[in-house]
Amino acid sequence: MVSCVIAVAVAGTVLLLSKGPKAKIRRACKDLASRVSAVSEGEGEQKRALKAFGLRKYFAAECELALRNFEHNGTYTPKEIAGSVMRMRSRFERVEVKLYDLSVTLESAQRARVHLTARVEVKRSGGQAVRSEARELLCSVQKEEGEWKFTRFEEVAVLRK
Amino acid sequence: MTSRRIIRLVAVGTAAYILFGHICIPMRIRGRSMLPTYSARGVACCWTPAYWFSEPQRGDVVVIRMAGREVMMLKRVVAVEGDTVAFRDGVLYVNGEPQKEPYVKHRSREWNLPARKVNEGYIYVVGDNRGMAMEEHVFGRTSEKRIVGVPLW
Repeated sequence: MVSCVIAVAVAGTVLLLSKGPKAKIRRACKDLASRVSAVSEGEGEQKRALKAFGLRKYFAAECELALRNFEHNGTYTPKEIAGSVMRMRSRFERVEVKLYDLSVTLESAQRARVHLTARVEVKRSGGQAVRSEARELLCSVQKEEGEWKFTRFEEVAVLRK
Repeated sequence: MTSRRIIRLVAVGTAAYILFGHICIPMRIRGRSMLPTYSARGVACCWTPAYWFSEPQRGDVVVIRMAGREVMMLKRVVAVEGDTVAFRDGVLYVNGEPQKEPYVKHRSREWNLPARKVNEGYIYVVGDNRGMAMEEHVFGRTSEKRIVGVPLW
């Protein structure tokens, strides 16, 4: 009896969470982080290129980057972003992007904002860490042709010198 | 499984969730900004009741949240609201007075920062490792609302 109730509750929760727009946006964020990352040792150039090419679908026609102490801030097309990610990944042995504390706020049926912490770890061959940092981000997403696409990444200043 | 056993399991689970999820949050330390007080890799627990009935004071080590509590920063409070903070040749000045900081073992004379006031509701935090480049070191003023607690050890 108890196990039946638990099973029904779990199934209901999973069904509820996996259907809504918030769940879709969360999934888009996680997929994006996974595609930007290059963590598997044997990942060949071809697979990396395919992953980078697939990045295009996550960005709107114009996507703005507004990060602190970042020399590449500006507005880019999906093609430019995919190209930059591919170049960056070819320079390092391991690039890992992890997202934490994702919270999605729906502003309308077509627009939403995602608040999260992103941790990026970049390593050169030999396992030497080149960069390891966490940033708090506010991302804007909009729905285009049924898909949620990123339009802006803005860094939230947690500490101001 | 008897109903008593289920109740006991639920009670233990709930207590563990409240204790380790909200009161004494386990955390893994990564990064060298608090050297030598905290090693670049280690474990600690964040004690959240620390400021339930008091305010953070100068010299306290605090845990500051980012978007949530999964990634947090460990820093030392060097100034509170109303204070003026500056760095000159690696020395910290609060309200124009040079500060003795026994916890700082590595100090770079390259640290220079013009004076700035800490607004109401804010604190100014810095890591103990002043040997690293100022540009690399993440520090500054932040809202008191971001303080989650203090490390237990």
